[in-house]
Amino acid sequence: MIANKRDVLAGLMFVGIGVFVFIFAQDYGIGTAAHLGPGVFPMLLSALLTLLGLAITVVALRDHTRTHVTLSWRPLLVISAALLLFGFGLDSLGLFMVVALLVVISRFARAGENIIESVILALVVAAVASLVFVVALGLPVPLWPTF
Amino acid sequence: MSFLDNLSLGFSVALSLHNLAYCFLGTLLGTAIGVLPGLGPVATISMLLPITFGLDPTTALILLAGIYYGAQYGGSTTAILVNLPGETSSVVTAIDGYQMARQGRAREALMVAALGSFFAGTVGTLLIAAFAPGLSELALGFGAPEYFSLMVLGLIAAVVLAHGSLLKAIAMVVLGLVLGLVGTDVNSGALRFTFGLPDLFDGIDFVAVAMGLFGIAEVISNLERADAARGTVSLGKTGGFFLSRADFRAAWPAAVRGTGIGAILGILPGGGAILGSFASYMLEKRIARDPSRFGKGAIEGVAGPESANNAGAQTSFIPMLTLGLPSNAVMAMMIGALIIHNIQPGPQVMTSNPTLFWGLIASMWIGNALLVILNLPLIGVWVSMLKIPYRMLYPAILVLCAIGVYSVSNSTALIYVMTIFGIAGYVLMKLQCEPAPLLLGFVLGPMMEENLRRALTMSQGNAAVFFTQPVSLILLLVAAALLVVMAVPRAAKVRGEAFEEEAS
Repeated sequence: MIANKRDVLAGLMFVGIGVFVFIFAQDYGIGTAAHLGPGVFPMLLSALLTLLGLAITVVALRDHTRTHVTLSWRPLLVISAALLLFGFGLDSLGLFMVVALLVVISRFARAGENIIESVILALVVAAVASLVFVVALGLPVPLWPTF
Repeated sequence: MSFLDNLSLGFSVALSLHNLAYCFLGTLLGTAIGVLPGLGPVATISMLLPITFGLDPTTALILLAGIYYGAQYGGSTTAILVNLPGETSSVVTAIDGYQMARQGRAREALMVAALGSFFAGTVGTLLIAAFAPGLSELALGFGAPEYFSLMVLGLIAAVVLAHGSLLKAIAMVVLGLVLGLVGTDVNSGALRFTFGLPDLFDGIDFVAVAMGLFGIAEVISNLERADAARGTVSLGKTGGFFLSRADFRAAWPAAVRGTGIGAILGILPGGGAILGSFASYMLEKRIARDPSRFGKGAIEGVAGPESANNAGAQTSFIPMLTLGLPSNAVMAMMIGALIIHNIQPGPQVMTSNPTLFWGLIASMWIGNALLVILNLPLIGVWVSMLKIPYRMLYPAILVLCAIGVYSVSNSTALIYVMTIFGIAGYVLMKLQCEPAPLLLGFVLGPMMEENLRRALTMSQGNAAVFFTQPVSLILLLVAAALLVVMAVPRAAKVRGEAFEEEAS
């Protein structure tokens, strides 16, 4: 049974990234010692990262501290979705709408937020953002939906 | 140029109306950010970085520096009034500062924090002005091998002094270096790790990385917890701000000692403002005639750490300005800002951009003075800002991040990059991998590779060049020694715990 799950996971993550980068770096060319190719530094780094990951894993496997990793999926997914939607919608829906949507959606990251408060907050933030970034600072984005 | 010539050049730059206004804006924004718990200076600087693109580099740096030391100051206000450290560096201030506030001495605590910070800021500024020229002259003689070794030392020193697991911190630095590889290789023009995405041809955008790791990830992580009820202490009845003779006498030696400790620890990579405030509190407690007063509202417990964190905030600029080495995440942001403005960070900045260098330094002193003059009357405003609950604050933070990162190059791709780094940053946080070393590696990665290749070209492919050049050898030996010193007690401790397990 692994006690220190958190650090084992961290170690394996570094190993995974290291191996991935090392494999990819093979294609970039080694060059000569005096004129290093673009593949050398990535290979050095990824080898080092893999070794460090292994070391972290080994140390963690022998460690008896009990840890575990629990992600809070709700805020993680809601916030990511809200930001991605902002990116997708910006050019077609305009700044005012996507800001308001970002505020309203992100407020679902925690249970039990007052929906009326969300809407009011969304309108206020969207109005301020539109005034500051589009009207005052001249950010080149549409303000309103364009079809 | 002499010391005084340099300073007068600096003041002539910093005192222009334009720069003065941005210095004021920076300190004001910084204080506001510092007052609000859950929004750090790194996240703020990354949010405001796009706004500085249109400014000239000197003004941009003056603004960003103002945010940094303003945030230190604002953090102490929150610590004293609500027992919540607004910034990590003010954790210790909360201990005695909040007790003073509960005893109706909030004004005295705030006053001591302000005056201590100002004194420390003044000393810190003078130290930079005195030592920076010598250090950059020394570094100007460095060739590629020395530079490479210096960066190795800087990165190692930064993680050794940071808290948490050493192995993980080094792995995070390396991960940062790897991320720095993405994009077009400068030497060969080869595309690396772009996966055919044109948005990655110029590398991963620095602002998107920083905002994701420090802004978005923080928000997600803060949302795990419910809003803490914040009981604000009233300011007390006395009208003006003043210190009694007894308070002043108790506080000033602590402030002087704190300034000394903070200034020294601030220069060290990884130290910044945080280490100094802890060290100063320990010292004050140890040398006090009656250590039991600490934790119950000892004025020295506010004066010392507050001076220390401000002194450290100032002197952490020294390695950044003279060597181009970031000693903490905020300094990594400053280097990012310089690069965005096409200024290659390093020892040549002082000679090639003297107005930027000395103007920035002079502005720090002016900024510190502004903090004292403006913030004591504004305490009421900060207190009312503390009443904004997080549930109304975080959507606004997200909006600022999203618009800010978009405005870097008017491209929605950066919003996605930022989101990915936000998710990654949150997962890393859960795995207890600190994001700050990653940012340091990310900033230094391209420069390290460049110097490695150049050194090998000059030595015709002989890797021994790093050990045969005396300066390079010394730098590498110091780095190795740091690692050994930190690894040995850790190893011993882990072994000790293992033995205990077996015995029981």
